[in-house]
Amino acid sequence: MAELIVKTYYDNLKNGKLMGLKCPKCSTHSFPPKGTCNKCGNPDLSWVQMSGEGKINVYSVLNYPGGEFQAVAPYAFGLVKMKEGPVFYTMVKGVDLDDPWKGNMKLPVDATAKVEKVGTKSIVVFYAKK
Amino acid sequence: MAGKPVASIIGVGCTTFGNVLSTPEIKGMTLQELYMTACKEAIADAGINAVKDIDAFYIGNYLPQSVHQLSENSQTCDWLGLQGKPSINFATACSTTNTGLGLAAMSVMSGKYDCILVTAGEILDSQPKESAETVASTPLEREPLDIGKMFYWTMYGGDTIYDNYGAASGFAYYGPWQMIEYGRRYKLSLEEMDRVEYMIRRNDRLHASLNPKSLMKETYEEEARKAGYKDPFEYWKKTNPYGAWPVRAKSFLNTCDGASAYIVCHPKLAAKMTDKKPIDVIGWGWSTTNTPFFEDPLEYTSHKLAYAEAYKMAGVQGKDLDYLTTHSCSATMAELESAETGGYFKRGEAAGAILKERTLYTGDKPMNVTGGRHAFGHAWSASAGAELYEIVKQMRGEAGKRQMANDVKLAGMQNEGALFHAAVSILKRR
Repeated sequence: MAELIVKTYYDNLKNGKLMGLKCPKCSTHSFPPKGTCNKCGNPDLSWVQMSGEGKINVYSVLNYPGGEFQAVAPYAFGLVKMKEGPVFYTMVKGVDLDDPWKGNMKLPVDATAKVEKVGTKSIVVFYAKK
Repeated sequence: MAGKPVASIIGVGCTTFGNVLSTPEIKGMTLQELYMTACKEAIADAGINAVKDIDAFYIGNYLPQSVHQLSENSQTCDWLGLQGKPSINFATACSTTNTGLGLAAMSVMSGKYDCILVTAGEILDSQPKESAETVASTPLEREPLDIGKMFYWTMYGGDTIYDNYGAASGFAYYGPWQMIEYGRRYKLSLEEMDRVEYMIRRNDRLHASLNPKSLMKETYEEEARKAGYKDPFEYWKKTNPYGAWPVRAKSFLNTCDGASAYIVCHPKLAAKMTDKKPIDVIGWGWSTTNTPFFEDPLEYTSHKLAYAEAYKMAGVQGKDLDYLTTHSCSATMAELESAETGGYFKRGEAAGAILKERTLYTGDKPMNVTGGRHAFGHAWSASAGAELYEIVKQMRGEAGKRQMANDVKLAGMQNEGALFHAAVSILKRR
């Protein structure tokens, strides 16, 4: 049976699930999932559902993004440190778009992931907790 | 063994960076003619003969979609007098001609070849009219290329499995996050960071105005004056909207067409092959990362690793360099993050140095004296070669009115290719 990592990820994403891979030897998580542990080199990783919890550390505001994202601009794009360890760059919401400098000075802030549709794409969005 | 010369640069060449549809020096040129022009200059600079002296050549191009070409080595060999010689096509995107130094060094140190020609070229602002759907009578029929389409193709070098299907980043990680984090960490206001960003690009424009091969010939002050502004920083703020906040639109790179080339030989042969003062490669480092490129915006993983590898091989540290060129697609990423990760400045000191004009060609810590990817122009794979061209000219004292105040004996060159291959090379004047 072929190992279809990308198909597994996107099939689950459409159903609102964030699936990653975890190394059984060193417990390092890979998200979005890649095929080999980059910490210890173990090629045999196991699927896990990510908690969707993390912290937003920094964000920019995009005024002229490409493709389907023009329709939802301006929006914030941030660096999220996920609870399980991976760093993930994605759309963030619940942050200050009117004064993003001030907003960034208040970071990091806890955040929770939701899967949302933008055009044809399902994307992971992290919402800052109030 | 640290610091031992592993290759010598004996000749450099570079076309004017511009647009083959309009820039007089390169108008009407095909990609083959761009390569040829840069290579002829490098061969003449070294004072060698292509057929007799060059053992092999390595040729780069990143964006075949805008030239409708592959296998540039076979298509170009006879344009360079190298019919029948060994060759490879290679690319690490925008670090290609930095990476070529290490490839050439490995080649000459293995004993397989004595003398290597490295070249790369791009045409990014136009495309052939001939395609699978359309016809043209000759390859000279080209049409302007939509910049959105060109960047879409360029991002084939990004993470095409996840990132390109995620929330479009707008290059937020490539300048904007660095600007925010730098201000936050070192307690600088948005206004102060905006001025740092302005000064970097103002310096780029000044440097480019001194260079006949650059894309942008006008200083920022001249542009502001023509627009009716006495204060160029006011002009910067009032006519320059945010692209990816807080980085302004005029802080972005400017794409162009062009080619660069250089000749590398075994260090023991340099004095025999050329009358020019040899410039030795004493170290290089490479590092490749996919997303995420960093956890700390002020320290790219690939930059840290590539600098460390290059310095270890060269037996030097960043503070020892007389000159550093960084890959300046984004001003704040290059001149704050890379210069500090590379140890050219201590952490938190680059912004103050830029504001005090220490990084100008007249300063004591010069950087990016070509004008970099913003003002000299960015022809993807060829750009690092343009920086190498300048370093060699500066080290030889051949840069004319743009000659740096620093006597550059030891230089560092950092580039990155989408997305990301970091390459750092350390060069020493013999």
